Amino acid sequence: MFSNEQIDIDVLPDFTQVDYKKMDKNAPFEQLIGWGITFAIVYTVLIIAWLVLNIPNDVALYIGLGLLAVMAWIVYYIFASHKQRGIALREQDILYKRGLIWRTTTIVPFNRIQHIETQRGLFERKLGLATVKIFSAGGLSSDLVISGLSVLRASQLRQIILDKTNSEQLKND
Amino acid sequence: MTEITTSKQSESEWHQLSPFSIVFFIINFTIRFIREGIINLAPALAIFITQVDDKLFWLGIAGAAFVVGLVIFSILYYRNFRYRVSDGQIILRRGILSKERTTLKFEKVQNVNLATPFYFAPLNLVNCIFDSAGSAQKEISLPGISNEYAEQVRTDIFDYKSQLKANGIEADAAQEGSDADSTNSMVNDKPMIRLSLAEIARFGLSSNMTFILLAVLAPFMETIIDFSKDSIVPNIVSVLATVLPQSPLLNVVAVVLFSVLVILTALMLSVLSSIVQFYNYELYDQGKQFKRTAGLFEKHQISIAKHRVQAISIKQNWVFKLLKRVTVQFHQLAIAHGQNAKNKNNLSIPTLYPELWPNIVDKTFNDLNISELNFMGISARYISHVIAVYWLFPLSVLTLILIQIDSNWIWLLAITPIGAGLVYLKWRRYGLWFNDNFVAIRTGFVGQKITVLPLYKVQNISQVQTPMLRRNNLANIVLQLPYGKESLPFVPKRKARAFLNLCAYQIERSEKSWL
Repeated sequence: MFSNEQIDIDVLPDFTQVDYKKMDKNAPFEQLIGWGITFAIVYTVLIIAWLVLNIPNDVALYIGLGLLAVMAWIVYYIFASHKQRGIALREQDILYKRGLIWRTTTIVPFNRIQHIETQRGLFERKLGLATVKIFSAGGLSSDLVISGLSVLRASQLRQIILDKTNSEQLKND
Repeated sequence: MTEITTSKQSESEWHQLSPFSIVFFIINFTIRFIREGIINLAPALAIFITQVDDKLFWLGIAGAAFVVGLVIFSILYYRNFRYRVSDGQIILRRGILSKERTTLKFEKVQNVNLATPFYFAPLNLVNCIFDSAGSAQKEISLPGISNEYAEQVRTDIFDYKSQLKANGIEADAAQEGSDADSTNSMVNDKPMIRLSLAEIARFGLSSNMTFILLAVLAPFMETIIDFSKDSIVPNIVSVLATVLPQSPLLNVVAVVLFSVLVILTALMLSVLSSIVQFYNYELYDQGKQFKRTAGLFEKHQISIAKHRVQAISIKQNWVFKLLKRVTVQFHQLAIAHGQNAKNKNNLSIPTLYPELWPNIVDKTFNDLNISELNFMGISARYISHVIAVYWLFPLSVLTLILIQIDSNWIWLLAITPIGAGLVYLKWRRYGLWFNDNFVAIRTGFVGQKITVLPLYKVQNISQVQTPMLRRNNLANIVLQLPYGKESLPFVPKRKARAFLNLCAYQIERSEKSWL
């Protein structure tokens, strides 16, 4: 039966009125480890360069201080953005908000999800974390990468998405 | 799966292609060799140029060997090429040394497109291309089968799919089946749009080919200029001198003449390439699908079900603005993101009178009333923000640097109003319109682009806010579609929220297949 009633936009479910669940408390540490390793490598290279290439001490000092400032900013960013990050599930879709300066909220309806992937890197495994990647059509790679989920939450999320997308497909058949 | 038994007229034992397909293979392999193989030959070529005497002789030998090899290879390839259409699938066996077997099930076929190279046309042969939902590499094509047989296979495929539907297997096939029906009943219909040579030439003028060509030549510009100064310009001067009285201006005239000639040649090439692509362009409206035929050396027939059109863009660049034409582009699901995938199924209407595009949109999206389109602009803060962040800030830094190195910086002041003007133009183009079922987004600069799409085609939606946008109650919106992204900056927050809520509602409520 075809119907075409007018939709009252004001009474539609509002995506801004949702309670977001924060990411796992270990999530920032996983990011810290990643950046820590990167900086350790950069510092090692720079120190070797300083010793071998006879770079003047004051130049080395400036570069060192600059890097320290960058590091401080990254540490601040990791913890501050952790506070802004969160996921929420509604009956029909999943919401993910992230970002400190560019605060992005993405809504992915379950009936537009093509497939999902769960990924666990070395440090994620140590910290009991997992990353869920959600793919929908037309995206170049995955459309939504939700990192910093506890393993339990990741598998719950995965199960919910699979259930929802399956029931959608059954309805269409 | 339910067993479906039909006597299909195209059903067959193993078949061979027409012997004329050898010509197709020869041309195809040559093109592929030029495109992919020549780089690998570069080292050998370098040795050849530096080490070998008697270049012409050996070049002749190599060329002859190549041609003979190519012909033999093509004949062998033809002899080993077998196909079979049966049991609801197309099977292909090919390859000389390493044999390859490809199977494509009827229900996976999205479209059956026909291409007719000019040397096939008199023989009533076509290259039948089966578009599958999978990747571009797995595509099957049968070069050199008769036109009637191709049509037969096509009908069989769509009949098969509609039977699947009758047995309740695949929901999507319903539309396909009726597409096939309408194809049969309306084969002789008049084209909705037919483009004359002059119109296609116009498109050539507007395309960016000219600029691409000039960009390619840019690194060699100096050499070209030197060369033309030394040999071409004096020649023009001497020719001119015979008709015109001697004057010091003659050199200038010659240079101008030469530049005009170069630009005209570039334009000509661009026009020629668009004629090759769009010669005899005809677009048919066949009820549930569009059919397009075009091409000079190779006539391509493409059909696309209307429900597969994800969005329509109406574009007008600055050249087309002067020529008073628009280009209409139909967006489809893009699986492979290579350039091939983009061009192959291009249904686009290269050039159209602006007053005709609402009709096209109307025919594609039946329940959209195009006269409702009424764009709402974005916040004027866009102007001040973009000027400050992307114009004044970098300019100030540049000024400071220039002052530091004691260079002249006053001219930078002159650039500021130009930037402001450009930003204003861009701001003026941005527009958003939506009703309960459709959205239209307008962007542009001097020209403009309007994209119209049904809300249920959207895959996911995002809202982006920076601290500045939050303070001013604004938001950027981003829509992910099966062919890419559409976005709009600086939308009033209430409007953005209402739109995104509506969008989510329509996607989640819709039981229509978006594909």
